[in-house]
Amino acid sequence: MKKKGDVEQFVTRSGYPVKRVYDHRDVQDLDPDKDLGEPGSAPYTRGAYPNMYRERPWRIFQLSGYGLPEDEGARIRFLLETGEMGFIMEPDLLTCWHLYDLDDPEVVCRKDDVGQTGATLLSLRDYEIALEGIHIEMTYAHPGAVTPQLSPFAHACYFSVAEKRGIPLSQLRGTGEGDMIIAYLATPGKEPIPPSAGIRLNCDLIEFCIEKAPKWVPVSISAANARAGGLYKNEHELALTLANAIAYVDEILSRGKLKIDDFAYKIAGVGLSTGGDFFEDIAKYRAARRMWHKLMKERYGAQAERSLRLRLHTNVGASMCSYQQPLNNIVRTTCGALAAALAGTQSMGLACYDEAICIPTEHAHMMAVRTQQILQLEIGITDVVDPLGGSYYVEWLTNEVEKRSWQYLEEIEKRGGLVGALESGWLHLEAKKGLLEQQRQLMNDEFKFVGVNCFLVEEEPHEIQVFRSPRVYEQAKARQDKLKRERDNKKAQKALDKLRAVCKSGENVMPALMEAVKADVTAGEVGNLWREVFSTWEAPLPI
Amino acid sequence: MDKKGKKIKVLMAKTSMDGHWMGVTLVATALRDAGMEVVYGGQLRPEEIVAAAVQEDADVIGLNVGGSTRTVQRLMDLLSEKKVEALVVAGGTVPPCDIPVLKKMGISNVFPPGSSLDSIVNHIKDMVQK
Repeated sequence: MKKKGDVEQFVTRSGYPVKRVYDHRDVQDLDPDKDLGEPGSAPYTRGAYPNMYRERPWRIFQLSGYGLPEDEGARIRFLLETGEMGFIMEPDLLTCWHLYDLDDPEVVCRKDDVGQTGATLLSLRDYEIALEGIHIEMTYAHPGAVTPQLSPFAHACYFSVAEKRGIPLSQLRGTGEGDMIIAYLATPGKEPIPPSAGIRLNCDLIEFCIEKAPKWVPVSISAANARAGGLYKNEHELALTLANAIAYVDEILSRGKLKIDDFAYKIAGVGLSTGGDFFEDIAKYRAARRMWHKLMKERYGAQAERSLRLRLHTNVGASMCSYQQPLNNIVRTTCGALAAALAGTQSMGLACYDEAICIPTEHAHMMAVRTQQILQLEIGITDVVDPLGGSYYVEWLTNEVEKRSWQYLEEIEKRGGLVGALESGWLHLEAKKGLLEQQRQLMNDEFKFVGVNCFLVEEEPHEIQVFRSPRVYEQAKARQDKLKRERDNKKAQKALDKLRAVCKSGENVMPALMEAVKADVTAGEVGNLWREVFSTWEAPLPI
Repeated sequence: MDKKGKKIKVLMAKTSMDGHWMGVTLVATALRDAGMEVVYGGQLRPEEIVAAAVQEDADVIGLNVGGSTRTVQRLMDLLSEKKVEALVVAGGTVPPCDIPVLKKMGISNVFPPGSSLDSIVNHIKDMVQK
């Protein structure tokens, strides 16, 4: 984009000045063997695997969920029939995210919000209903474990569904998330447990999965969420990814039980975003793989290929989309998807065109799947690995993103790493700075957003069918009351007491939590216990 | 300035449990830049919003609302019950079809994503000075 000022200057979305054209002199220090390597070989700049999409297309992996658990299940089945290759269960913000039961005063005064931003999934029973008719032994899954405080509960429920169906956990494939960035920086809820407790719970889950669910990816750092939260530059996204990885690695190493190559592969799948500056996003993915390799090898002495190879999920999020003229969002997400494909993503979820307005309709969801299918099948981009490798501009930009990301990581580390920079509120201030910068660019027309600050229309040219999630509070409440009435309350209480003791002693929470959900302990009961033992935290928001 | 010549005071709050804070931050910054005083209450229940509005003697209540129309209705009922006369404006991811519903409840104006900050500032100034 063109920057306003006395001298004409062009900059990328992250603000890096760019020249009219690039040539060999811009990459003269690049050593192709050392800095690029072969796809699937160190330092993985050119791709995580040698054959990439010739061997396996990227996974079409959409987020979905609303209403009651059976509504969630119906939408997942629809998407799988449409061609999705794995499913992401979205829990509602109000109950699952906060771990409140339906009789909590915070929920009672907001009945309409239950099941609105995801499904209400508050017990093992709810997970069983949502997953009815879905072959979880064969399908890659994300069981809705968005935040660190929810993640152990969501996993305990999902894993318990498998056990009840007689499926060994060792057979399950899928991913957790437990994202620190969304939970503590981008969209912190009211009084979550502190960031350090979030790290502890995630690391418990990592250790549990190494032993019991070897094919499962327990956490997925999703610094893509930082972009929606004001930290919109590519160096923010990469530096936060690495700062988060460092926090997990240091915690697990400090426990003294595992060595780096025993667990690094469990955190080597992360989520990044595209949909911003096309070439810069591509450069970011290539830089991410190279930086990961360097971090694991040089800082931690990792040797195993699976520790050193970074796998990437792509999120083309709704923050890139406009409320105005929503069909334009199909074009935006297509561009983001194309960037991710050219950059070698392993999986992808696109915002649906109506997502800036409402919960996606089936049609909008189908379009997100079809967009990816068209890219995979019709335009010939999957035959050659890293097709942009060697481009003077892309290689220069990859170096530039990497350089700036190491610098920003240093800034975070100076402030105590991810947890320190969150607790002090430094990252929240940085996010506000980025937000105001973006707003200034939007207002002075440096950044053009079609339909928002240019090419506006008075009336929407196309009628968008707004999806209304059903009002589910009363049904969900009746169901939860019945569960609490009919369960063996002594057993539930005993399981909770055991979980409390485990939390306090520092043992791994997962086995006790699995027992608790099997005794029909609910999300709200676990949430109250977390708040009791870990205390709560107020995000230092500079509003 | 309001009619009495003092700074316009705005209480901002979120009615839902959603945690996005970018939108409210932008609006709060714009209102302060326009000379208003802004108090941010965070995620508040309807009763808490009314109590805060009374305590702060707010001229305006700025709400970040999700899909929670029944919660907003409850708030509007409480405000009229307690005879709180603050101007109520709302913003957030509100589907177009919900805008008239909220206005019918007595919300003075609704600003969905992409609204200009000037339009929010001007609306508040116009209405408070009336």
